[in-house]
Amino acid sequence: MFASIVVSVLLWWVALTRLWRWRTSRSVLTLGTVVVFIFMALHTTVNVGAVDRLISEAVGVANATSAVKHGIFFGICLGASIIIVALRVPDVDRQRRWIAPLSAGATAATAVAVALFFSAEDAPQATDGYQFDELYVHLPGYADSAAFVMGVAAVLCTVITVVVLLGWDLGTPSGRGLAILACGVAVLASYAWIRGGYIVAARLGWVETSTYALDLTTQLALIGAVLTTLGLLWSSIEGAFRSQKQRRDFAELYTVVVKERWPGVIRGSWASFDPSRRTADRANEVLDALSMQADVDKLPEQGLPATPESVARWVHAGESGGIGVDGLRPPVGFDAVKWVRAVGRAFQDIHLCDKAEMRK
Amino acid sequence: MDPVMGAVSELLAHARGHEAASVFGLIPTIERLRDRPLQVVRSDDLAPGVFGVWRSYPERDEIHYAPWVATPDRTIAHEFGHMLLGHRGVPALETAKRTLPPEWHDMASLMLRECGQLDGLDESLRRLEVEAEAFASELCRRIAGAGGARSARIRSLLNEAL
Repeated sequence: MFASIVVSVLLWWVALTRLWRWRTSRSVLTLGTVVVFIFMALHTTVNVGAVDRLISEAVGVANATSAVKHGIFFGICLGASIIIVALRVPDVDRQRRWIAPLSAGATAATAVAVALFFSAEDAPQATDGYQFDELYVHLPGYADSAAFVMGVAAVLCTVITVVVLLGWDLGTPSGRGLAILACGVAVLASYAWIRGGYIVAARLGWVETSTYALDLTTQLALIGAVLTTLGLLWSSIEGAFRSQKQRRDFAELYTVVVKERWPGVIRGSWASFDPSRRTADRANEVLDALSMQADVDKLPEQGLPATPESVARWVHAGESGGIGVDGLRPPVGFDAVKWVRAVGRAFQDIHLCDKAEMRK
Repeated sequence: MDPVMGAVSELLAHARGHEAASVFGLIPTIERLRDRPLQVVRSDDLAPGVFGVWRSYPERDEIHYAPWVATPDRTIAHEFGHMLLGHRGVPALETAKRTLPPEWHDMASLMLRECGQLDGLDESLRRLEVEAEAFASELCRRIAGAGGARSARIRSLLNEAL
């Protein structure tokens, strides 16, 4: 119960932050993400016992909340389908033309699932969704509806897992976020396959009804939701923790090359940028200032391989040591922030050595 | 809608195959979007202190960038921003400063002021530059890591949601 509430709050947070992103870009991919997370958040909210009973009482039909959840599931499937279209169709207008048919398909699928659900013989009201699944999910009507929903969800989650795997890497914060997200979606796919498989098998009498599969899939659903949420938030979390230290590492270099020598390269960051984006913008200002310095010092385009120390020595004392403009570029495997931090730390070390020398 | 975020999303949504792996890779995407050729050229004849410039001709676009620029990707992305955000070329004073030697800049400003060309120019020019820079920053963030992914297009699009 407590876990459901925590996951629900997390999912609403992600849904609202992605809704904000959709408002700024109006892209089809963000729309799909918003739809997925709003319906995931709704689903976990409805899973809370009190909300579950409230809905059944409001509808006036015993166990009606489970039918509502099937509709919500198709909302998640709609969002997932929109994401797949956005990733696969390389034309914005064509992507937008897919939204209406996909919405119609999700509505029709919901109607079919609800019709199957209410074709079941009446059963007494269960205390919550878990008890409903335990007692009635294998019965004709309920099982057909649930198997249909789980089948569609399983296929879509599997497709999304494969698609996300095509994009991940471990070298960047967003790549690491994607890796976590891929694990989350894979867990949700297993949830749907196992639950759907159990319901079909129980309905056909191939297995005895048991709570094992239901317990397992409840845990998988929670783990999958947490990993998916964490994956989407990872880049922001990592950025928030790291950006202050990153700025400190090149603060001295920034003061010397940007503020004192080349203030013309200073540009404000876009208002909506988060701290990590602002740090990246400041690092790029340092690189622009180094470019201006390279032009004035007439550095050759190609030079000897550069290290952070050789670049720092050139900035500090004007001794290029044979480095060229190519040596100022972030090397392979470095982004602008990582490279400027390395140069910034080398620059700090040189200053500290100078101060120590002066004290002697 | 934020015009900068919208423009970056639209550009990447049109990218095919591995085009989104780098800023240079997006040149054919922009050619398709604008339905005209785009050339990106390293140029030795830009005025001192100019990182890059977009030249819009009736039948084609050209982006020139200086050889001493440490981050040509970001410079070119900045010019892409001007192109895709609907900015209209370079204002007169900027053109004068970019094409005339520094010692002539004051004279150029004086002559343009005499012709009434400098009223309100600074603020609007600054706004355009801030927008183009925000576009460059957003584009570089969105394609970060895309070069190493199995599908650059998918990675650059997913970066928007992350």
